[in-house]
Amino acid sequence: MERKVGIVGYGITKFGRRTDASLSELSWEAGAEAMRSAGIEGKEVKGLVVSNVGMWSSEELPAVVVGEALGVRNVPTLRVEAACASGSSAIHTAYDMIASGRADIVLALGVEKMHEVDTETAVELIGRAGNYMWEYEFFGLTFPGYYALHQTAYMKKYDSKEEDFALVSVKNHGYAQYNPYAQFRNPVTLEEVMKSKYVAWPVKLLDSSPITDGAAAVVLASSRVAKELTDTPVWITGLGVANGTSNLSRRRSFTSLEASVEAARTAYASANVDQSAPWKHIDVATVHDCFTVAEVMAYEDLNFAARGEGVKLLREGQTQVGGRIPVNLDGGLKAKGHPIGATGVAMAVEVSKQLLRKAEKGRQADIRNGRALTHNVGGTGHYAYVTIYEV
Amino acid sequence: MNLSNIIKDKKTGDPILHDLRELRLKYELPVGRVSRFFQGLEEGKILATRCRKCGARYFPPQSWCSECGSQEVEWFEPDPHGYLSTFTVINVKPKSFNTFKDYVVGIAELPKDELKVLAWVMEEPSKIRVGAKVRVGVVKREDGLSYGIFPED
Ligand SMILES: [Zn+2]
Repeated sequence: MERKVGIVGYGITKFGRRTDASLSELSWEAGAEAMRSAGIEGKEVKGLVVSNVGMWSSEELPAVVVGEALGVRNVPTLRVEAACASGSSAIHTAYDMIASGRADIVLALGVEKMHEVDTETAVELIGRAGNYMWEYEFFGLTFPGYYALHQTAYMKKYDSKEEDFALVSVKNHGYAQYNPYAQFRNPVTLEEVMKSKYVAWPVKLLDSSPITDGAAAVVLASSRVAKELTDTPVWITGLGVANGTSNLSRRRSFTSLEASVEAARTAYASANVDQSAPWKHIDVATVHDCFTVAEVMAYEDLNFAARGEGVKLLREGQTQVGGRIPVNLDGGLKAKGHPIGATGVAMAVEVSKQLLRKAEKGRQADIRNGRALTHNVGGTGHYAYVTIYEV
Repeated sequence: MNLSNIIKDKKTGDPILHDLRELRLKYELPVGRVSRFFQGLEEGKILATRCRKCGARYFPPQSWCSECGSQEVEWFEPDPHGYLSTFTVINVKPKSFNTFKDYVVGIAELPKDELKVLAWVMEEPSKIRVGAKVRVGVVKREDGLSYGIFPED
């Protein structure tokens, strides 16, 4: 039988244009804080999983760099990649190492250093993250372009407007002002979002997550060790993962990410969460809002709202503190920032803080069930990871 | 290595080592197993593949069947008529597409053969509607022969 696994410590860096620190230095900031909060040293870590997409940064073997920086030696060490969901894939891999009995303490650390190249090069590299020859080489799709294809289809099917999606940006920037780790701490108005320039019509600059440097880390432990280390472990009780096709032209729907639906179904089943009304069991969620349409689709793919009613859920304030299910109280990818390989781990840090009632003033959810969800998408539904955490 | 290689970041002012080792990447992509597709473009056709065993159809074309594992696939010309599922205008272009004007990327659904084709939509964005009748066809672009989505009346 699988062993129970929990988070016993976490750390996160300030997100943003972190030209003050190298990949190694960012990793140390987050990793050292995570180990300090868990009350352990590097030599007690028995497995190291590093999520990093790279390409835009110079270190080719980041997992080794992280091990050296944190004094983690002679243990199973690897780098994992699941595009923007790499961070969640690191946590799921670390979970498996512990659940299988191979290790008692594993560090999952996500790091991305995107400002080692210029913006144009970063846009090019992210845009190549679909099917390379048939979509990029021939037609120059960009990452906002992928999600724009979904937004156009959604707007047509459900008769919604660009303003509806802009509300995601307004909400998430609104919460980011209370998050000291966020890249953008400025609130934005609906008008400002609507006036921002198009990057891939109908997606505008202020619908989009930025290019970000940052790192986040969690120390995971088996239940026996977790109980020795802390009185307040955050248990992982539900895991769901699915993949989608590389070619967007082979997808059935453009108003939903099938991989998210599948991942949610599996995660809800494993954590005994009501499939049709998950908000009854979940107090707070982070969803993958790399673009505003992605957050709206996530509401529906995760069953927070019925098909076509994601916009209504948002407009009614049901995804704010006090609503049906508060979403992205850390500012989301949109305003907190999106250091690609670190994002999934940063989501785990965020829901840990929420469940332990340690979120900063102005952005703490009411914790009633003691259960939270993270939804982390790689590419445009190329990968989807849903994880459920409990205290 | 000396201090003269250290510059200031244009936004933060932080000291940055300006890398002296530049790497250019240009891939060489094997297309031998789908070369019939490129011959098809020369003939004015957009070709797809179909599994002889289970009938599964593939666009982009591929030389094996992911559904049943068969390697017996044949080339065929799908009915090029369909409708537009969705589209976007690429306003901020990647570096390697900088020489192009803003282009429209769309997905055409070809209902007769149950295939979808992602390509440029050869029409002014203001005239494009989701659900509009379209056909897929060969396009002669400045960078070579390609295929695109054309409006139909
Ligand atoms: Zn077959």
